[in-house]
Amino acid sequence: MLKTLAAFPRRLSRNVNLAIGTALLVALWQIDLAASPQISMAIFYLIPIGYVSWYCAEPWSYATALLSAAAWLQADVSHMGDRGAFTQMSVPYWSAAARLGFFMIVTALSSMIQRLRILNDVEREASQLKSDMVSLVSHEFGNALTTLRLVVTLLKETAGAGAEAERAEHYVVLERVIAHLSQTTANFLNLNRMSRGQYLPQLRYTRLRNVTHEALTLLEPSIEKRNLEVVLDFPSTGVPVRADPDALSVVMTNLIGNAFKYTADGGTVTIRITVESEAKPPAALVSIADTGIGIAPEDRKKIMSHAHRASAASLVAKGYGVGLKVVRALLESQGATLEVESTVGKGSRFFFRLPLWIEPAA
Amino acid sequence: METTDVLIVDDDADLRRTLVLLLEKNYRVIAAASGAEALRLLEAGRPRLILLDITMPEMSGIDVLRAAKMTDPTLRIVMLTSRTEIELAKTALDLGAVEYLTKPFDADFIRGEVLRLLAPPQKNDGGRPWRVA
Repeated sequence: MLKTLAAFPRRLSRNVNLAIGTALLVALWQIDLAASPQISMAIFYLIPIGYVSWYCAEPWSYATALLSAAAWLQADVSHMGDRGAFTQMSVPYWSAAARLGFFMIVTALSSMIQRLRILNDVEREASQLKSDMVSLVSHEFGNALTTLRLVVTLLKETAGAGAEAERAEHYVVLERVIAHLSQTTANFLNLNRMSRGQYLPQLRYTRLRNVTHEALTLLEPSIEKRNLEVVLDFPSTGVPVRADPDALSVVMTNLIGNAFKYTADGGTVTIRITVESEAKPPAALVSIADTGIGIAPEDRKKIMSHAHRASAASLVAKGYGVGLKVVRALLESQGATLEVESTVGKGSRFFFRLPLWIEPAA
Repeated sequence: METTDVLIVDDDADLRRTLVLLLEKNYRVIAAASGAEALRLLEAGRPRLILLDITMPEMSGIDVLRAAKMTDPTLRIVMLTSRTEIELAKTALDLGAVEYLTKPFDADFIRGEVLRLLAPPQKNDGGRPWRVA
């Protein structure tokens, strides 16, 4: 209860919090003005100072400390005429200077605690991400290594009539598992790089159709003998977009790879590129639709949630891999948004828009 | 009456298929791709042994274990997982799993485990009134 109450101001904007802090200070000042100077309000002035230093940036908290000392001084000065209020005229000024020092020290300490708290949050998030990654890697690699070991044994033991055909099937599995491991490793490294803030997209002239074809070529082994129908609906001319080609390649490989993975044999995966030249700015709409298992609304929310704490491990446990998290982050770094429509048991459609490349004016 | 020897439950299609190929030479094997499918298969017949993956979408192996044990406490269930947290292993064993095997494992190991777990219970020791477990 108290925690929720304390977290509430964090959701307000800085200006609103500043206004609340100032209102608290003004209210206190008015009470101080009304009360006798013999009644010390010292501790109460720490309320607005504490509030502002907790919820606003550091310079504002020093300003509040200064204002508090000034308000108190003004209240004292206004009582100066009262009989016996002060033995000497300089006393209120001396007291004001001393209080200002006291307020400044409190503000400095409070800001320091605040900085440590933020640092602690960052650390905790990083360590959560790390432990998520460890579970992800151990899960994906555990499965892949087991499959590889077992298939190698099967290959060794395959003999007699029909051995050739059987071996060919085993090789397909080996290829698929290795492709999956490569993809997982790439995702893992990308996520790691992004989480350390080292990733900066290089937006440039990118051929959308080419990137998509490359991703398809890479994923081809994974759908061998699965009887999936892959429909490509592209414009007949090239679709140049403004994007980071490397990031886009990871996005396409992940989205198409997921569609392949979660669609049962015999299903259909449709990759569509539509040029929206009327849009402002003109854009290319990329959509990857499958007839797969679909995603339940609560999982969809989890995948698409902007909570940066969304646990990668829980997504892995749900079977969606860390891929979508990477896709979303990569698209957002280029100013695009990943969207999804899905019906459980019917399939999913992931789509996003990229701005068409416009030749810079000569 | 048991109609199958081993039921394999794993959402990883390649691993599931490979395990089936590996074991079907010596045993009657069936497979399920999800917890829900596994529970449906259990309604139809009782396997002598279940190899159950823990990390699965929708219904985790632990959920399946709990549900399966509720309907038939005598089921012999072996957990398969890459997760090595001791609490998870303890939870699984407390819920009545007979074994907790961590991936990656190789063919000899899984065959050995299945052989051991499917072996008939030990006979009485030399006519003595006690039994060596």
